[in-house]
Amino acid sequence: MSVTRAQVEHLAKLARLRLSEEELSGLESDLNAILSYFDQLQEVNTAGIEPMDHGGSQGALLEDDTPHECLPHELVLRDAPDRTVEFFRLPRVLGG
Amino acid sequence: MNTNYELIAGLEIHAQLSTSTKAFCRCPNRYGAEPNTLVCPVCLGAPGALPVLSKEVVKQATKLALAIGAEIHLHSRFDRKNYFYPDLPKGYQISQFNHPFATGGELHIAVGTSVRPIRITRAHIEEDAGKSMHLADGSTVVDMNRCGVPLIEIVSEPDFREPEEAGAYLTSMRELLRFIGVCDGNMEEGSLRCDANVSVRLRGESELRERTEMKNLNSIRSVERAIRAEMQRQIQAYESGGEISRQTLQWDDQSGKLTPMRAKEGSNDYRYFPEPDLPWLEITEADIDCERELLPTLPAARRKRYREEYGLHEEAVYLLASDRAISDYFETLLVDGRAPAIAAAWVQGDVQRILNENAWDFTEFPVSAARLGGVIDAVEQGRISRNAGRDLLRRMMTDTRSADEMISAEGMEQLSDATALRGIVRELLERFPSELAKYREGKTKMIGFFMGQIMQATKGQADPNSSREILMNELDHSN
Ligand SMILES: [Zn+2]
Repeated sequence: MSVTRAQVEHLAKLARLRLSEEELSGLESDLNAILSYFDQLQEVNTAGIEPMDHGGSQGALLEDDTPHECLPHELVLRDAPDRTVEFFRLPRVLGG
Repeated sequence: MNTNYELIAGLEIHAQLSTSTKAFCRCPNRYGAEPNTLVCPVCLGAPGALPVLSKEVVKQATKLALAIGAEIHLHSRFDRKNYFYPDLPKGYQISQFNHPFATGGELHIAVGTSVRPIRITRAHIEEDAGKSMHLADGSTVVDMNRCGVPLIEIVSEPDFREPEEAGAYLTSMRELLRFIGVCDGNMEEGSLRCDANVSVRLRGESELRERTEMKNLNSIRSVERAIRAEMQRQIQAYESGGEISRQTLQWDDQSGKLTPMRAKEGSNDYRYFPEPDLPWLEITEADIDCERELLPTLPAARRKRYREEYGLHEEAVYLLASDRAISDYFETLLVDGRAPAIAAAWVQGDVQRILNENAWDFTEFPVSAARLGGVIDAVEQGRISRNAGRDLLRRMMTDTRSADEMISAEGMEQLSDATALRGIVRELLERFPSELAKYREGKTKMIGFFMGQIMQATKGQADPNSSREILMNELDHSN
């Protein structure tokens, strides 16, 4: 299993990362190293073993449907890079 | 439209659940609050904040799954659906991908006289995004109050062959969600939203062609219009030798036009992976049974009973089972042995008229079934006329007394005593000799004149049927 350069570029686009040629090359080899480790893991015989896809050993704990206090409005917007009185304001141009 | 083609369409319905809190944090789930006041670190996507699912989400999802006959999975899992959009602060939506809450099920739709099932693929739990909007100064702002509100996404199979079928399905699903109390169904406020997948193919083809997706169709009518417009666009493209590419389209209800939004991301592009912050959702058969017991009799079963056992006509059958409150009200009227057709006529006629005049929702109707029942009984027993009953019901809007109390306190009892009525009729015939003569000359419309006089003389309390009978008798037999 390996990734192509085109796949790395596609991933970068999905993650909204603007990467240099050098960074792309670095990531390509890093990702391929990770994938080859997974190839190695694939060799282990897991027949009859329950897949473990979560660290928790028990089911989700659920909460009662009772509202709690929310954050004060000023605190919510305090660290926003840009804001109006009530809203978060977005940068003008959104990457497509 | 070119009839060599057939429509293949499916709907995805997003219904906001009627919980008190959001899906994964305990911020209130409430529409219409001041912007960015119903938020906390969890729903703002602050680093390190941990989601915890609300019990009520599971209960309501269970109710819906039972109502559509879906298979509920005792183990389901949450996944992260990754994409970047300004109304999604975490950079992912918590949804269910590989192990949804429920799969299968169906909903029957009625189009014209035919009723047929629409298959449901799956129903899963997820969270809503925030809401971005454009201000007059050209800037775009975000309100995160809606972010994290619980949704149930209900995906249908591509079973619709006509745009009207999609409309009928959405109508039935909305009615069902409201009936079982898990969503208010308010499409204007966005509590219920709908996306459609549309493709067309030549009749007789077995392969599906490329489909497009239309987002946020915000009324039943716009679902039908948008599907019809997209169907036409695709047929025209194929007929002129073109192709359809997979894309997402935005429907503009005003202009009736579709515009491409973005190249549709394949599901691989969402890079779904198990949500590490949430363990598997485990429920038991006992949990499901508990919700099953709370589930009301559903509209379809009520309609069958109204039609087959009560013999009501279709209009009443439809209306009286369209809303849980109306339906329960109607059924309460029947508890005391009142005839279904008579009770139905009152609810469907007089009550609806009052609701319409006041622009009330049924829950705002101030007269209990017990009080309306009293009015119906007084009319059926002949104690007051149908008109007086109608009047009494109207006065109950501002009067809290029972029908019996109001009737006796105000001497509304109808005059149907034959001797008394005959006396009044005879006296009138003597008082109006020339009108009587006109009747004898063949002017039968004088009957109306005398009926009017009888009502005037009795202040409207004369029973119209007995009065007419006695009047006719006196007119034709006295000299
Ligand atoms: Zn919150």
